[in-house]
Amino acid sequence: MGAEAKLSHTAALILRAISAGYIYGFSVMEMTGLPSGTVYPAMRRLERDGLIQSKWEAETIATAEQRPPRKYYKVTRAGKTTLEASLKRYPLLEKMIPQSEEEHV
Amino acid sequence: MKRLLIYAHMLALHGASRIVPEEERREWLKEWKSELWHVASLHTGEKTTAFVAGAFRDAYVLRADLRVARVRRSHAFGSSPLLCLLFLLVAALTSIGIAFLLPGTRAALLPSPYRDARTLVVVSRDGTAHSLQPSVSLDEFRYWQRSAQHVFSDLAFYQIVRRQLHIGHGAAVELSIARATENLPDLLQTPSFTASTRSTNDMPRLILSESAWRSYFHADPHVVGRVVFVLGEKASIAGVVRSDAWRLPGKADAWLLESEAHIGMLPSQAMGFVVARMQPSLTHDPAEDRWHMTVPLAGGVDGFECVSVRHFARDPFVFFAFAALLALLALPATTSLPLGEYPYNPQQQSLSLRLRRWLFLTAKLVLIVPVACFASLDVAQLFSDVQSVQLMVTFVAMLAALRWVLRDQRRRCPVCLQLLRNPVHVGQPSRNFLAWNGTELICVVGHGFLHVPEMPTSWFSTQRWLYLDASWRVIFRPPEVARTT
Repeated sequence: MGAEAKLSHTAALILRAISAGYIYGFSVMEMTGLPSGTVYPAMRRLERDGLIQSKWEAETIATAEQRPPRKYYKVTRAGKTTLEASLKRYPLLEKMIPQSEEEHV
Repeated sequence: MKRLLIYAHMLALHGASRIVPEEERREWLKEWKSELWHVASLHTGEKTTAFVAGAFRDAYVLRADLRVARVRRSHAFGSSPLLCLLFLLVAALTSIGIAFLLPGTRAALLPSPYRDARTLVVVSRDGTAHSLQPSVSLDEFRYWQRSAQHVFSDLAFYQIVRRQLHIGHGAAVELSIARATENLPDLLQTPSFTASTRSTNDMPRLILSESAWRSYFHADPHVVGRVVFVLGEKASIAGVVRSDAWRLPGKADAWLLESEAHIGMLPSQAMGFVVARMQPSLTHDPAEDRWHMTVPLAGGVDGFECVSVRHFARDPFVFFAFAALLALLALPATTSLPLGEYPYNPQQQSLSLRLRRWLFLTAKLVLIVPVACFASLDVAQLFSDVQSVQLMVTFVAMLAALRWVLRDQRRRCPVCLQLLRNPVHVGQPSRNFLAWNGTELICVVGHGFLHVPEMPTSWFSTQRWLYLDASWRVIFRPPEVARTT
């Protein structure tokens, strides 16, 4: 995408949370403390701009665990580039959400 | 109680989903229901209610985003220069295709069916060559038959009359009949007329046009030889000719070929058309297709024009050129001609870019000509006075098309040729002498701004382009994204 300097602080925060392994809407809400009315529209716009992409969990896994399937998000290559630029602009983001190797499912 | 709350939340989600456009509703609801299940399993009712309340905001935002995306997509689709040219090309091909389908226009596009059309002339009184009214009397025709053998190798006379044709069993139809001397088919030397007009008996022969044959004789394949009653006497149907085989003045549904004796019964002052074949000795110059003839009369001389049938075939295009010229002259009254001021900028206006801009303008101008020309010919066929309607339609169409070409060119970025967007009004009319007042448009890729003055002044008379340098790029989306959204 290459629109690195354009992300707002909130959008950068959500992108950072997804990058850190908070890969569904509710976990992003829990991590960032933002309300659902902010997180879900922001994630939809990030996906529209090609910074993240979503994928539905396989039905078999969800059925085995007796719960509905979830929609998972992950950061794209363009999203990673944008996040790197955003971290230079908002350096505190790294401290607010440390990068984790594991996904917080 | 908890179950009741979950039902209430689900109901609220379904309510919110009605805000979301239908194409996205199912996916949206599925995600929110799934998330609600997880939230409700971990949190109390109050937190779950706050979560569900956010669904309404999400639904509104999604609805607004989709609407904006739809508008942007349609704008992006319409602002592409290639699409503009493609649209004009399709319009040109469509109007040409329709012209080939309509018999009246097809005749103008196809080569003449007559052998040596240049030496085949229509003789008419001076100044009436392009009139659809007959201008030569039968008396004058007879005089030329006797005394003008050194000018014409052969002559034929015809007049168009509207008469009833009795086709048998008491049925009659009214047709435009060209009442002609019987040598007319031999004079035209066209395969359509010659092959279909073999005489079977001494009766006058009637040749039907294909449309009349289909309409009134139900395309009867055994129509040749049938006897009909027309102009008070019997006539034998001698054949059917294609609609585009007749290229001479006057619209006819049928041709009645009569002997000299029959034609001689007409009053000597009966007016008609005279078609003749010029003597080869007078037609040496291949570029010449009009000749003037002076005929001595008792009180002086009378002038006649001999206009080649080849010349008549060019008439629709001559009328088009004339009307297009009038439209060109009228254009400055409807819009300003300058395309605006574009300051020289070697980085953004290289020679190839400037050339591309002018090529785009030229391509548009080239493509609107066949669109207007053939569309006006097509429309004119719907009316009886084809020439007048063609002139009027051509004038209006060319004026509108030229105006559009200029206005479209002025509203495009000189670098990428995309249509400029986001018009905003800048300044105040009351401060026109102190600061500029007008409309500002922007190139979405970030090549620059266009400033269009609301009121032309001596210091700001026409629109101006303002180039933006590379330092502005950060606020614009990259070109490939900006052009498609």
